[in-house]
Amino acid sequence: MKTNKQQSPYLARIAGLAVALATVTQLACAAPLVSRLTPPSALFTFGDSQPPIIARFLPGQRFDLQATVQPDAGTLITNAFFSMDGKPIAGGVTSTFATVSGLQTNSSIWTRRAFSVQRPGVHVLTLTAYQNDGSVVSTNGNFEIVGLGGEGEGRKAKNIIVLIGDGMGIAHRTAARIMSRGVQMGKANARLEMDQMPVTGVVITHSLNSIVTDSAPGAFCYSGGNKAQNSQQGVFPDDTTAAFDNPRVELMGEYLARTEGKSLGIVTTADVFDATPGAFGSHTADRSKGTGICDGYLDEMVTNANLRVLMGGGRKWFLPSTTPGSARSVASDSVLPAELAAAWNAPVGLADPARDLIGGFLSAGFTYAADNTTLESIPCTTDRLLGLFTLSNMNVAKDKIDHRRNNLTTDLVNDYGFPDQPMLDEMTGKALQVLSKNPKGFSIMIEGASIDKQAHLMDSDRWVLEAIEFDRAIGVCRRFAETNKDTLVIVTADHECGGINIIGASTVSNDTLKARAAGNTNGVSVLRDQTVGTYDAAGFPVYVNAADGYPITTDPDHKMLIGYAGNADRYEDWLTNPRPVQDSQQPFIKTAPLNTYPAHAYSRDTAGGYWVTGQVPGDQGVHTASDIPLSAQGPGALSFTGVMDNTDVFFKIMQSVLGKRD
Amino acid sequence: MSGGSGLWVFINQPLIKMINMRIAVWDGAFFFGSMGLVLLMGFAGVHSGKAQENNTRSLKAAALSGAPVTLDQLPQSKRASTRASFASGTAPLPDGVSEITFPGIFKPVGGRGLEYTDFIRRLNGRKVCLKGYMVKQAVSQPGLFLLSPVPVQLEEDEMGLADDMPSTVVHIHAAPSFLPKAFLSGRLLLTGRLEIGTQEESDGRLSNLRIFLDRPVAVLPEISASPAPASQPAR
Repeated sequence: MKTNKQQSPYLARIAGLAVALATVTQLACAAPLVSRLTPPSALFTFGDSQPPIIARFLPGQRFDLQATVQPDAGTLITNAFFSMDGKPIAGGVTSTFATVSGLQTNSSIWTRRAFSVQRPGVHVLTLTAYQNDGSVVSTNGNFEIVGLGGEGEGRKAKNIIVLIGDGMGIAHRTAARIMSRGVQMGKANARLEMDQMPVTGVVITHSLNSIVTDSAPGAFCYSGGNKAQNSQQGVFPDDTTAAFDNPRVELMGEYLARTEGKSLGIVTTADVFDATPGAFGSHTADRSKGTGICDGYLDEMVTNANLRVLMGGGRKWFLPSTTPGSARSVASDSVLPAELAAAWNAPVGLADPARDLIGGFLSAGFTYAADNTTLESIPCTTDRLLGLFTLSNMNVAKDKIDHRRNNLTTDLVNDYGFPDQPMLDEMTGKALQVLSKNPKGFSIMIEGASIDKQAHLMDSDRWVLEAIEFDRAIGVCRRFAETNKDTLVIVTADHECGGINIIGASTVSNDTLKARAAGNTNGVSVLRDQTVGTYDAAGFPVYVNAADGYPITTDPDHKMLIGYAGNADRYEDWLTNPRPVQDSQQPFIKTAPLNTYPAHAYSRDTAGGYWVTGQVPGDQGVHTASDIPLSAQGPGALSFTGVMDNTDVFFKIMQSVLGKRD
Repeated sequence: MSGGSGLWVFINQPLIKMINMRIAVWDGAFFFGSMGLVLLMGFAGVHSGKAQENNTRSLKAAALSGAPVTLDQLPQSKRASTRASFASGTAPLPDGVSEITFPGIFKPVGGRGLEYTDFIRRLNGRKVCLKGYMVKQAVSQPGLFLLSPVPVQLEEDEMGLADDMPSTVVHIHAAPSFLPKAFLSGRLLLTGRLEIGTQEESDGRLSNLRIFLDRPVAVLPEISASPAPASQPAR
């Protein structure tokens, strides 16, 4: 009889093969895969537990936990639960199937809604999931609860004013100062309002998925203290195609309403559904869903964030879809999952494009202003204000000012059909008047929206005037803060737009510049080499202000010249575009002055023949990744120094409101 | 006028012109803001030379006054060339086509939405022509483009529907044979059937006005009095 040691070598080989086959089979039936864990963390994505911690929250700030689990082929995930620091998290976990492409069949999403933690510090989040064949998977991420104790300046901030100059980088400010205040013998004749705020910092603006952000995460960082993916606001990304079911983060307005009883205001010169206002009043993975965003202002924010002021353009979302001018549609509307609605105290909502949303706000006690005349005459007792002054974006400052000065019946503002639009500082004054009715204070976001939009169009004179209009709104806030000393005022931006800088000044008079820009066939040698004054030749451009505070003309002799690092292909003749567009009812004549009317940005300024090759594809300038300046005044302002992440701003603000004082 | 029934159309500034079988409107604002009485007379048989001379004088008077004239007011020999020159925007309208203008679409805006003018309501379902600019979009839609009174460039990726489009923008629907293959800059002349009322379009927008093209888009000529600018590098 042979012993084990004496077994046939053939059997040994067969046994070995069987073991190998079993091993391979087991590997093929490996545990399910957790492909997403929310809140996002470097620990989960890269195995890196070290700072910076990506997701941070205030003590008690609500946020959703979520995970996507991909099962093995032919199996299902049957259960999952979350733990924090090794201890199971109480509360129901709901599940749904993932709907994005590229995942394993039957991939499921597990969500614990409206979670919050009081204890400061970094916490480890664990997701454990079970597959119906008995396999188990577990994975870790982390997040931080930011403590608010310790430092203080003696007085808490009762009111928070966040002014966002969309796209406003450092050079936008400088250009506004040169045009609005002037420079002589090397010194600015006066400072802008934003210059006079005592504290200055620098803000890093990257988003969750790119060094170059757009306005949605660029504003959500301030309203929610967290990074978001481009085009998303108030939420983290998920694996469904629905836009309103993403894991949420409680916004500043919601948090302060719930914990402090404060009111919320949102004021913009853009369409009110646009990303920057939307980031302060909505939770969506798609910033373009105007119907759902605006419905949410009434259905959620009035109740959950004490929204009391909403002003800007965007009336089209508030009109029934059967009314000409409306943009309401099922495709851009929102219906919330029942479990999300229950957890966040929000109505599920309806796909109701025929809804009269203005009527809804009126029923909720809002005073409605459709034009500046009405706005100026609202009773001083008004404590809820809805202002919708245009169907889409409001007209830009230059065109509004030209309209007011010239009082023409045919001009761009009239062409757009809304001749009586307020300026941003006028809206700001009324907003502060209304919000002050709340003795517990308020938070407000005020946006100069078209600094960015005109920089995209590389229309230099228009974005400079937008920045001046924005600065005037800052002045209104500073006057308010001077008499309401428990007011924190922050001036910042979501990102820089255009890669803008002041490259010099024209070396010639305006008349000469116009002559050079007309019918020239040698643009580079004339409009660049013989016109652009750099260094000493730039001198000090002089703009004279009219009584309304804006320059009499944006085409003085030896005007300031702007260059773009983030520009698209274009022509440049340095002259102010008399209108950004041309009326189709007028003939297009290729002679001055009508040849200065651009057909569109690409063919604008062609007569001078000065072609500027862009560094980006497409027809418009782009956002850049550069840091942007921040200015602060009021209680807690001193913490806004140095270089900070854009999400830090949220926590510094909340420190000023909620932090302990010595 | 030619033989057969003819029409005397008498226009007296600032009197309004009575709508007959064909509506000829030169300017929506003029039409809507004018008041008056129109006298129609029909004649059978051969027109006398004196009648033709009188007609010519009335046409000249109408042209000088800025009042619209219809194609059937012209001698038969003139109509073919007139049709050909219509595309230039300098000639009278084709048969059965009424010109609309952007200012004539809506009444002045109040506190809510837009209201169609009575003029536009009457043209619902009829053939119209409209001059405007093709909206330059980053994302094109099959069989559809937008016409605006002023040139507008959209950047849908960045701005979505937070745009700078005028409220009078018109959705143009076109069969492939009529649809421009690429963006057309400059002023365009579009002709087709008008449809009013709100409707959700494939681009996610709600249209207030739609024109269904019945012929190709015409690019209106520019009046050039100066040398063309230096040619730009190919894009």
